[in-house]
Amino acid sequence: MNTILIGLGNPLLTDDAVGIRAVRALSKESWKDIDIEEASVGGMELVEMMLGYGRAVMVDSMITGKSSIGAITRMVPDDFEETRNASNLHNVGFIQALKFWSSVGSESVPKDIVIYAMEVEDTYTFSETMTPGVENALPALIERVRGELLG
Amino acid sequence: MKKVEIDPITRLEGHGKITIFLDEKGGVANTYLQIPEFRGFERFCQGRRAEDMPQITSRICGVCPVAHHFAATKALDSAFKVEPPPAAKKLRELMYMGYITYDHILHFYFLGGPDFVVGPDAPPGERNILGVIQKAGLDVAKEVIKHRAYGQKITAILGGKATHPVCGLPGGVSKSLSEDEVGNIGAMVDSCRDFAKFSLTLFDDIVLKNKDYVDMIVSDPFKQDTYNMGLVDSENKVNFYDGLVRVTDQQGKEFLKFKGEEYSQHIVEHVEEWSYMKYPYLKKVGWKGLESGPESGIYRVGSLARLNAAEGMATPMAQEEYKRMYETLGGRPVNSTLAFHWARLIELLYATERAGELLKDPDITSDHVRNPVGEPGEGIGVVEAARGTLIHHYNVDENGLIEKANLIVATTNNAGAITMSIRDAARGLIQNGNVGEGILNKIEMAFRAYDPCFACATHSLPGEMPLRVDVVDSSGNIVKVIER
Repeated sequence: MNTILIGLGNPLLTDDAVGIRAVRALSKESWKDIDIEEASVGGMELVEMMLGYGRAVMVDSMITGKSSIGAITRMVPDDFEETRNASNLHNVGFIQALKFWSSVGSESVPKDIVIYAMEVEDTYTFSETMTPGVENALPALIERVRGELLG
Repeated sequence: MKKVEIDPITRLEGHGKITIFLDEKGGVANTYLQIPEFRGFERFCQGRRAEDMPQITSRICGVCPVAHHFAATKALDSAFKVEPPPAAKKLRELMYMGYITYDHILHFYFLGGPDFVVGPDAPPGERNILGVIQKAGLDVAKEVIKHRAYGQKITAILGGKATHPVCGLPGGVSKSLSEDEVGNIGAMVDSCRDFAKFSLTLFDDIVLKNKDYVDMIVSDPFKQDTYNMGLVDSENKVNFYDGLVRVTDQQGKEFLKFKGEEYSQHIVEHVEEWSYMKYPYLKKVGWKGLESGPESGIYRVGSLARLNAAEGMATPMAQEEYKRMYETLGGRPVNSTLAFHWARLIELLYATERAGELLKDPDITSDHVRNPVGEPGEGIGVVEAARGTLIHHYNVDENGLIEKANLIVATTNNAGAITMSIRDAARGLIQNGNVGEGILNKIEMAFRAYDPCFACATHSLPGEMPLRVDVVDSSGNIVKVIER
């Protein structure tokens, strides 16, 4: 089963780099049947990246304000509450994009989709340096994602 | 004073918040749009190599990387005092047409489409792309996918990478185009042109033949009588990549026309203490608050504003559609915000026609795609992003390093008009403190028409948040929550 590992984020916005930093570290290891990509896209583009793969693993930052900085959450698409909102601004939400692709059925949407997200502090400041709490938690994120890929 | 807050635009989809203030009688006193600001861009850029700016700025935003890439590249042409060879300009413009194609298709079908194709009064659960497919059919959905992908492929062939292009260099581009590639792109462009025509027919059938929709398009709450701004070519026709900035007045007459380099003589940014957002206005007219009309310097940018600021389209089929839109809606300028959607389709047709012209140009396969650069200095680059005029302004030191960088993005140019549109839509729907359930959608429709992009990082955690309105009384208690 082919897997795509996607690091999401903007490497220029402080802690938003964490997903990209994690997959960059993992890309230095040797993997079989796993493609590794970085992306700063959402919704449609994101789903299009994973078409044709059996499994997609994403790594991203999030700010919920409900967890401590560095906390790692593993999620699957069902964990996202489906919005009844029509659509937001200039992008289509990930879940809606996923449903769209499933409904047109012309290409295969991965059966397994997993998202690892780390609670971060700052994604609003232009910087290539992450905050210390996130930097310190990065090895744990890499370890969790490595475990997912091997498991 | 009651406060109504709409917070649809979370970190997940962009950033921003709409707050509606009610007066003592329960009517709408004022509305504003708050967009959390990204910090430290200027400092981040300082000391970086100027030629990295097209890559850095295309990373700012996951939505319009191509527009930032070329605004930056043009600013570098200007900073290094170099004129790119004709082939380079045409290759940049061709790539730009690919970007406009996929971007406008996405907006019309996925974002604006649900409002029109499914209908503004349809249940919120159906007003999404899945509802569009249900109404328009699976075959249409497949065509949408195909042609959006074509636009992206064209961009990728020319740009090196689909999302974050690497081709723009001061004085030209990094790569020429082969005959094979011309053939490949040509086939895709032909198909996109047919699809653009189809989309206009679909708009006719579903929207224009429905009197209720047309009445809504031309209704007062969805009108803004502002100045209009856009790039034009030497014949005052719409141009996305190059030309002069033209501003027309409420009668559609030319009010200003200037080179991108002169923007600071004509555009001033007003700052309100309650908002991070800056509100640009025309210096010659002045700041008169968030008001429309000839006395207020607020202007609009984006698809409809571009058509209003020009005297036509430079390609034949788009020109026919341009004429038809103005004939249908009562002449130029059209101030109906919802007509931005129609204008977007006319531009989609233009982009595909223009791409076809560029592919036939003998220069397009020339190997001469870059000229040597001069001494660095100050540079300004202006392009029309899909959602409006985009300005990059850099000061480069003698070592080629950035001293100062300033950007005015399309959504900032539209900040005043978007805020007014939200206010007017809210006024039409909130009376005596009664906040109707339909308000969320109508307000969303008002700002979605602009195709605003608050999302300098739209990629983030792939979830969605429900749209929510809080009605807060004067003591700060939430008395009503509307959520969906």
